[in-house]
Amino acid sequence: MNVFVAVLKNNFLRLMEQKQRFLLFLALAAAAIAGAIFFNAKADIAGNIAVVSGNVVSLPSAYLNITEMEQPPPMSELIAGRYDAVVVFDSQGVYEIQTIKNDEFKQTLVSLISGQPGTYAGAPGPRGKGTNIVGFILVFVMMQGVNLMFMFSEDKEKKQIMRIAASPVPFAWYLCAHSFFTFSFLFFPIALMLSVFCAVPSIDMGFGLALHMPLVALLCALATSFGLFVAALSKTSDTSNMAGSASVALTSVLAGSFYSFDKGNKILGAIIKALPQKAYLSMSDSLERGLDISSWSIDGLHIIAVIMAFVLAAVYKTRKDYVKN
Amino acid sequence: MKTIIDVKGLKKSYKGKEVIHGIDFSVKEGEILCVLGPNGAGKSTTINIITGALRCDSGSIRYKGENIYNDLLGFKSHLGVVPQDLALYEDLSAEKNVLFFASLYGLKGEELKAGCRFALDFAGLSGSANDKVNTFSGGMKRRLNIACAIAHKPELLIMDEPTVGIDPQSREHILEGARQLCSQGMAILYTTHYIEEVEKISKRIIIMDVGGIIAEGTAESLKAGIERTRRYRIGVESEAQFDISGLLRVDGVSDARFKDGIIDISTDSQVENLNKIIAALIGSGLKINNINAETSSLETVFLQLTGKSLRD
Amino acid sequence: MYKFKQIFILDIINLATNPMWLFTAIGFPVALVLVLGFLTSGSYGNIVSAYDYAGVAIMIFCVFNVATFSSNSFMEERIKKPNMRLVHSPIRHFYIYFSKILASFVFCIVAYIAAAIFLVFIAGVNYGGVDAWAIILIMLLGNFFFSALGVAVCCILRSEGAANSILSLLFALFAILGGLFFPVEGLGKAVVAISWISPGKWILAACLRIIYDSDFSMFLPVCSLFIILSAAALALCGRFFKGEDYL
Repeated sequence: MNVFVAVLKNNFLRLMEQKQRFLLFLALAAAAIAGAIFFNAKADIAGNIAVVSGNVVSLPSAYLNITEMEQPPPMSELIAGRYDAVVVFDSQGVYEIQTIKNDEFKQTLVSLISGQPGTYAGAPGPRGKGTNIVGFILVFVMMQGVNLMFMFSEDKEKKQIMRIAASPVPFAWYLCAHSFFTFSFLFFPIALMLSVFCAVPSIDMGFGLALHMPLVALLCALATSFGLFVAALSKTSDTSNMAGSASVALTSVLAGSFYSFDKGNKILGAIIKALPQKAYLSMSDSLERGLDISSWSIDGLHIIAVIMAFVLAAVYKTRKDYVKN
Repeated sequence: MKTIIDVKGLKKSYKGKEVIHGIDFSVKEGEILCVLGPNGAGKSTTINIITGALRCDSGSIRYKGENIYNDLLGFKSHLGVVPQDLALYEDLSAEKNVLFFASLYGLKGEELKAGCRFALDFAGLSGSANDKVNTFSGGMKRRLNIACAIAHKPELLIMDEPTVGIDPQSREHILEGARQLCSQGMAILYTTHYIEEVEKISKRIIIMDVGGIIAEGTAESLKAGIERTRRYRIGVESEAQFDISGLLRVDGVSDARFKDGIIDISTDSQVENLNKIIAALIGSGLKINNINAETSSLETVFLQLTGKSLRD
Repeated sequence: MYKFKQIFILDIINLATNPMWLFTAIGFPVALVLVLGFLTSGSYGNIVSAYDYAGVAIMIFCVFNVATFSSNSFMEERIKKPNMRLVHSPIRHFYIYFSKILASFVFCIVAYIAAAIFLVFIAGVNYGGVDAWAIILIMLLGNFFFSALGVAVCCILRSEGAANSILSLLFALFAILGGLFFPVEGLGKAVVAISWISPGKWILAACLRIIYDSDFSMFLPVCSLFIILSAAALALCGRFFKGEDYL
């Protein structure tokens, strides 16, 4: 137990020597939460259509966000996603659709223009606001999980870990202390920020603090175990930081942290399903919709299993490297 | 002998606290000047100022009479530095390390290769020239650390604790190497904690403490400076009976004790009286077995001057 | 110049012999573009492919990451101590940091061009055809600026670890805001307006306009801005670099 307290205290003192690292994380986490709320409040998910008709034709705008233009917008604005399609009418009312989207979208648009009801097929699937917010926080928390483990990496790099290996304390306690420290410094600041945002009545956080808290706690546990795993695998803190950040960026994008991909591919879809971030987002979504435990328990178990796997792998690797039998 | 480097009135402060208080010293061609001092004495700061890595607040540093700041890069090209840390590229071979660092001093082509050969030979590493540094032992790395500083044959070599943590063989090699370089005319400024090294390689010594020079001279003069009393320990036949009052009458003797066949005599170090003491003993009918003159070691001098309290 | 060349070559060797960095410079952009392109390919038609967007956007994200390469090559523990000798040797301090900036720039540009050629070949990414020179020039100038930025932040913070973690978080934020991971233009006027604070946004806009409209209106402003910012970053390095930080 002593080693646990000693590592916590030591880590705290070391972190305080690198305050700027931690303060910047707080600032960026606050920015990420604020950004998520802002994106949520302002985002239009209807299709954006540019219409060039010389005000001759008026299109139904219930499903679409219509922008009347004199000249068609440049192609680059379609690529950038400003407009999903451009509809150009000639003086006879004959139109031509220009889009980079798929045929399905084009057909829907044709039906809409001709007055038939239809749904916009290109928009991302409806996802709750709360889930969108945790999705945005996810990538920052995961990256910071890797970052905060720099003290464990440094112990390895500068060989302090040999002292632990030589001392009569169980190795697991040492790793446990690093993990507890990282978890605390991830969870409490984020929890505090979420509480502040939830307390402001005009801000829509998707769901209440009672749901945000356990979800963030689970996320922080995942980030901690991932940080521990990456640090255990890497020889130096630089490698751990680079490899960790790169894989967090890649897997979070894949899991749809920022943008949920409707049209996946079967093989890749299976890979994505294995990602804990995907399970986390899906669990959050089910909870937000108020679905019962049967619909999210598998996702929850999936995440817990991944956390356990990361921790066990880290403990095994570190023991193998430093505790020679 | 020409003065290679001449330091006068050097002062340096950190955060309002003066850490070097106006020190003066010089190193001549073909001379090894040893700087002894406990941790925190200001040795490394002084070295970093001389190498131009740190700027002094006041004072002057002259290289062959020229202020080094007039042409700092020109001065540095005649300077070799062996840093305290192992400043080597671990993933490169010994030869690549030496070639790289020597090239920074403007060595090219054949001259560069020759410089590299000389440095590796000097360090006894010619056989491992193509091996990566990360396969080297601590002693080999220390020797390579020196090789990287001498391939361009500097006129002034600064060695900052070059023998920390190595085996006696490597240490002996390094000390012998320093003597050789010195005999070829190189001026060497050598800092160390190891007092026996100082006695082996240097005629002139500076002792630094708390940012100032507290003593300077040869090992002998430093020892003489602190010795007011000399002690003789004389072994005689143990059964002998002896009255010490005759000894106390010898000029300079302040104390004499006789116990178990050993006579301990304290005498003024300025008075040459050993002959008289021996005569007095023989005159009393004693048979002398042995005589030991206990002189101060440099370590005694060092501890007496810098005190025994631990340093940060 | 001879001395600078020697330092520069060694800095390149240090970068190119690190397998982790080689992977991050070549493998990471290719993997990210292929994965992202593959994922979003379903919603694209025949005119433009999902890889076209990802191929440009992710390359810009990688240009940001040049800063982490340069900060690593500048102050990484492995090479920090030998760099101390550079401080003692008769070379200008400018050579020390400028060589790291230039080495990271050259290393990344070679790696990224290799990645881009691979992507053109494998996924048919459109980099503008005959106008590709303009895209390459923007990427070159951007690469140089971010390389200088990485070293400047290191000089200011005096710690490569702190510089790296700060920069990687900041770049993730810029990338999301600037629409580098997914298009943000469709998310409404307010989001579009705020996205302009990300440099990723203006580089992306400049590139897309050149590639798809042959519109060079943003080319000169973006290039000039990079040149000015690079000069500012170099000035910061000069102001904050202290040889004694290596001691």
